[in-house]
Amino acid sequence: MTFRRATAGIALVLGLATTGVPAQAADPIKIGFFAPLTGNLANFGERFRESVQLFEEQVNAAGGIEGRKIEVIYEDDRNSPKEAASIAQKFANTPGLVFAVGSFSTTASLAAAPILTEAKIPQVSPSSSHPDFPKFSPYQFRQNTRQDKLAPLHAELVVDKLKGKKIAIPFFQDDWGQTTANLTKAAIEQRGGEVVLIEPIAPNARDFRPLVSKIKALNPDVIFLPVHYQEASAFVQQLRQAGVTTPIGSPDPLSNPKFLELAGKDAEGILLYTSFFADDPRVKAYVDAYKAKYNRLPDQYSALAYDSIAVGVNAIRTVLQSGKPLTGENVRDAIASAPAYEGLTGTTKYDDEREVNKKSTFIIIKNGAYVLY
Amino acid sequence: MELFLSQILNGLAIGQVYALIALGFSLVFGVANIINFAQGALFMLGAFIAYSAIAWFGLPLVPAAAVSVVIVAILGLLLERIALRPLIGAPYVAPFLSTLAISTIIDQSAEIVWSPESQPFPASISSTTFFIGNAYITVTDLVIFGFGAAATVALTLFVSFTWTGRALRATAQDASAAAQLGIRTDVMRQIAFGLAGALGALSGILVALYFQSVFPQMGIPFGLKGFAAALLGGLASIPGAVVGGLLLGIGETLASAYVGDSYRDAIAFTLLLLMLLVRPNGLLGGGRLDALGGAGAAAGAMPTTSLLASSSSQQSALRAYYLPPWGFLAVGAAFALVPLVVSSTYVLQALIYGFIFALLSASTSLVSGSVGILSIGQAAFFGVGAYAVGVFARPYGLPADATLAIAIGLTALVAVVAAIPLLKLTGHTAALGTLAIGQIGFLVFLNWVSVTRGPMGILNIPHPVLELLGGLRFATTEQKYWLVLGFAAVALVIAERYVSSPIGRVWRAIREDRLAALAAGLPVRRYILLAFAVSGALAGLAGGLFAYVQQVVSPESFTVETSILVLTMAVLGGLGNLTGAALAGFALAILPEFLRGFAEWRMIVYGLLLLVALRVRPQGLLGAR
Repeated sequence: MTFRRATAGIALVLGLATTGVPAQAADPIKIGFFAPLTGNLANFGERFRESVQLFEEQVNAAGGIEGRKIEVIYEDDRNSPKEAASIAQKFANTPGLVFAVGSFSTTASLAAAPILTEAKIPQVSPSSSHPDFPKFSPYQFRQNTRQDKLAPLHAELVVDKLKGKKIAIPFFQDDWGQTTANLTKAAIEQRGGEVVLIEPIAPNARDFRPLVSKIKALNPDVIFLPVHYQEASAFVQQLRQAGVTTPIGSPDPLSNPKFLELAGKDAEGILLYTSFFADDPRVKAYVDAYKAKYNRLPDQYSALAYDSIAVGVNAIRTVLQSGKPLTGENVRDAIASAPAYEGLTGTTKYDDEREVNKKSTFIIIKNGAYVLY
Repeated sequence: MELFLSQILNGLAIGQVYALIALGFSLVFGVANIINFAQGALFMLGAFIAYSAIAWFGLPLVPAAAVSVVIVAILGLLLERIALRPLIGAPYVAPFLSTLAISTIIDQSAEIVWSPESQPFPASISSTTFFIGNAYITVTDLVIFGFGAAATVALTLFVSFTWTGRALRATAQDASAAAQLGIRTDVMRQIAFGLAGALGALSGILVALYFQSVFPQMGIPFGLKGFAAALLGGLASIPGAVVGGLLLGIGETLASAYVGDSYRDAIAFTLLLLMLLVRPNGLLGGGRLDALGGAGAAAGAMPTTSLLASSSSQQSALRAYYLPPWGFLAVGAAFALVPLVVSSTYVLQALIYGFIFALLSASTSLVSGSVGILSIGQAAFFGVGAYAVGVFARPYGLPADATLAIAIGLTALVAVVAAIPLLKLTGHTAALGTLAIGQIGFLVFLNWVSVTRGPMGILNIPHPVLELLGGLRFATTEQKYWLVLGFAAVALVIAERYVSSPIGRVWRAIREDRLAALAAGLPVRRYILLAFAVSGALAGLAGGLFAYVQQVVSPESFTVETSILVLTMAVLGGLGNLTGAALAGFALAILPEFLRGFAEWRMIVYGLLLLVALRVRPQGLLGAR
């Protein structure tokens, strides 16, 4: 099968398979998916893929959309803008592909954006957090809430809930971490808090002792931690090891079962929020199905990817039911004008800027588990 | 003051970790004279095998560690046997590439076996921490320190006082002389690789204990630090590796403490480069390195071992195939017809990347092949070009003629400045110096937020407009295809003219024997700087075109992986052979698209293809020139 796929790829590259016949009504509806499935950020991309695959199976097991099956084309972009652009071209040259999910980081998503836009393929990214991402063109959507809408929540968490006056913010050095840290700093200062340290943590860094010593000397009342879970777990371990007991607040990426596993007892007491809470009875069906298939709990990223493809498939269904031709343009309009959709991570209702505003729940880590705060 | 002391202690703690990793490099470098890029992969495997032994088979820590050390040592032996032995007698760079290919295969296999996730390491030594005021040290630190010291002492004793150790050193100093005295140098090489594997596994396990987690991508960041430490201390010196590791640890900890955590690595690599300016042999690297052809410059003692030494002796036997300068125009003209036949923008996009990487690979071949300074930092120059376009195109509204000219000029300038610390270095030391340059470039892109916008990247780069052609705008994929093809073909013609001219001959003379070139009255340094300027100009053009094609510039495109990929292309094409470099660059850039069907096995297949290609044509596809 691998070999067949390889030869199919070669044929495509040679341009032999590109002049497709008009899609038959019984043909599967093609959906593109791209994310980092290998390399540095593969752990996130893998979460996306698992959910999208689960969704694909569930839809097809239920008879597809209006009797037509869906077929997701999975591609690995290695978080490289170059690969993302090539994948976008591949999608643009795949007849009948009307919707794409991806990618994880904004840069990979945006490298694909111009090509997908030109091909009139709507794109929903589960997690691109750059403030300008959906502004690129009317074809870009996302599932995560824009950071400036979350900043007041962060300030509330740090200043009101954790009673912080002097706050340290070590942040992850990517577009998400940088935006979050800067906006949160402004929001904290607006509420009368003081940010005594704001410093980036390099991706894949593991040694935080210099930073920990610095934080220890500054003696803040609260540490706000917009850092992905792998680096964050090493950070909190080294922080606690140094005898620093300062309370920690964090945004949603730490609501991840893997974080609990990695950080162990040092994760105790961290206060955070999430838009996806696995113990919520409303998401039980999904959590059970995911656990049965992959033998681990879903995290927020899996849930966001599930909602991303769900939004697209709903739009495709709307287009089919309306009797309009199934084109990327019509799917885009259907996504933009879709009624509020209750997903796993909250309500998706795109505003004029193609942004969502999802509600978050405060949770705290107690006895090695997330519980409602 | 107390903070300062506690930071020094922190630096020592991480420094000993680096020292352990550096030991593995030094050993292999000393004996086999090979930069073993797979050392990082062996290090990662050591940690993961110990992890599996504990988590899956329930072994206690010590037996698990022993199992892992033995397995990885055997893997080290196999690595030598499979990937390096067949390449004895091949050009110097072939084994280097071979270790790269192996490391790609191992890293990707680990992601498949253990999933890309971090795993908590299921054993720990002790969570006790001793406090001295605000400073602290943990029991784990002490244990690692104990192991590191014990390993160093044992290794030193072994190398100094046993017969095997002496034979190892003899092989390191002069392999052919040692062979004539009856030493089985092939066995010695194997022993060195086995030992390096064991050391790698040991340091991997200790690092896993230190950070309490393992992840499949851990080989690269720690491997880079290991290189830096080994280079700082003096390659091939055992005490040097330890001193280098500790100094690196302290230096970067202080940088993190007083400048900022994001500048940590940038400062560490800058210090390394500055140190190389003063002491090209490293702190404790002595004359032994000269015997290995590692250090020295035209001004100093310099043996005649160049990167291609063994290939030049074969040159009469192995023909190099290359195009005349106008040949690039002919090929370009043929490619210009493709969009008339093929309508798929997917194919065109893949070809565009092929052209850009052909250019980049040629720029690498110029310094690495023609002048013989192996460049593992070309991505930095590529990035400068891309950022030049990113910064000037939208805010200043400049047309593409202007931005590309800026990209070319600026990158040439940056390349010349970057080459200054390299002038005194040769061989592997120079290669590792370029690695540092590449890292510094990447870190500048990431951290100089006011200009590069850091991790946010520069978005919405406008479509290129050429004012010289009456404001011609290149908006569609086809139009960009012609733009890139045109620039690439012309640039390659110019580069090939350089290489075939008397200037190119001087470059090759410098590569073959720097001392002889100097003695013949050639201004060696000026010619090296010229080579970097031309190479930088090519890379800058490639970067500028890349920015226009991509419309997004962000640091991810300019990592060490890109540098390594580009060097791979240059070597595979045949060093110094621009035609070969362009062909290999083109082929390797579009190859991943062909391999998409292999899904997560893609990079493994890629690595295997590389190994096979090296085995069949160690002197490069079209032959070194």
